[in-house]
Amino acid sequence: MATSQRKKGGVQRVESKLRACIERGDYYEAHQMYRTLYFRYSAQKKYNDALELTYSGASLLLEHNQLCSGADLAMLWLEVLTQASMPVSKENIDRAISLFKELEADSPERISYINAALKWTKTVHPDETSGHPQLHNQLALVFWKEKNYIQSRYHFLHCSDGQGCGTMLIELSLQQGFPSEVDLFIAQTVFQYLCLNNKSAAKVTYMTYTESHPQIEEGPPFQKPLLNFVWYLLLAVEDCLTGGSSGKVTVFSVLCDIYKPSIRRDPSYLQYLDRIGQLFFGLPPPQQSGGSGLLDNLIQSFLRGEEEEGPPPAQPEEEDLD
Amino acid sequence: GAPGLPWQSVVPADWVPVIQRDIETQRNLQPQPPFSDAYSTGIPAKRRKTSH
Repeated sequence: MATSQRKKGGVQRVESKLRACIERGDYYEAHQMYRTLYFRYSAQKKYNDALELTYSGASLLLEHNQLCSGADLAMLWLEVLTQASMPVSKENIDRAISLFKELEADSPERISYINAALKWTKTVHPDETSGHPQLHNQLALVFWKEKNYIQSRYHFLHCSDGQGCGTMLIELSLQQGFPSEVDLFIAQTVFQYLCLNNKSAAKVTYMTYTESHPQIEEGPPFQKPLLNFVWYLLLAVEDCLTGGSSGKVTVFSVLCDIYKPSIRRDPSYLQYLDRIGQLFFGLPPPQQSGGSGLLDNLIQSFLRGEEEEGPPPAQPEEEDLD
Repeated sequence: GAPGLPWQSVVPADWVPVIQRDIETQRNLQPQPPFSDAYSTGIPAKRRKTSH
C-alpha cells in the first residue's frame, strides 16, 4: 500500500513537472521527457503508469495545438493498450475517442491513429476481425458530427447502430444525394449490412430510414419498387416465411427476377445479392469466370475491414499481372 | 425464377397486389441518372479506384 502510494506520487510529481513545462511553452523538451519516461515504464512493464503518462501527455499537447507531438504520444498510448491487452472498456473507448477528436481531420496522423486503435481492439478481441463494434460506433458518430459522411457510413457498417446509421443516411441523402437516389441510399446500406451478416442492423436501419425520411411516404408497401424489394428481402432473410428453406430460396429467386429492373439501377447490387443468396439462402457461388474479380473486390473490401485511407494493397491489382 | 410455378403461388398472398403494381411501375422505369458523389462513395470498388 505504502509503496504503491509512493509510486503513484512519483508519477504525479513527474506529471506536474511536465505540465509546467508545457504551460511554459517548452513543448519539445516536454515531448522528449514523456517519451523517455514512456520507454522506462514500458520496459519495466509498468503499464498503468505508462498509460496514464502517455494519455495525459497526448491530451495536454493536443490541447496546446501541438499536433505532431500529441499524435506521437497518442500512438504510444495505443501501443501500451495493445502491448498490455487492455480491455475494450467504455473508459478506454472514451479516451481513444477524445484523443481522436483532437487530431486534425484528414491528417495522416488520424489515419494511423484509427488503424492502431482498431488493431488494439482486434488484439483483445481476435474474433472481431474488422475491429470492435463499440469503437466503430463511436468513430461513426464523430465523423457524422464532422459531416464526413463517407467515413461515418463506413464505420456504421461495422457496428450495430442501425438507428444512428438510418438517421445519418437521411441527412446524407437530403444534403448531398439526388432525389433519384432516395431509395438507393437505403438499398445499398441494407445490402452491405447483409453481406456483412448483420441482419438486425440492416432491418433497424431500413425502418429508421423509411419511417423518418421526409421524401418517403408511409409504408410498407411503398410507391418505389426498390423499397418494397428490400422490405421483402428483409422478411425472407428473417425466416418469417413459411415453406422452409426451399420455399425461402424460391421466394428469393422470384423476388430477384421480378425486381430486376430496379436492381439493375446500380450494377453492384447484383453482386451483393449473389453474396446474400449464398449467406442466407444456401445458393452456390456464381460460376467462376473471368469477370468474378469485381465481386471479390467489392465484397472482400468489406470483409477485410479495409478502409479508403488504409494502406494500399500489398498485392498488385490482378489486371496488372496479366 | 421457379420453373413451372407462377410467382403468385410462391410469395405470401398479401405481397401479390404490391408486386403486381411494382411490375407495372417498373415498365416505365426511367434510366438511372449518374450517381451523386455522396452515393457513389458508398460503392467500395469505386471508392478504391477514385481515392488514390
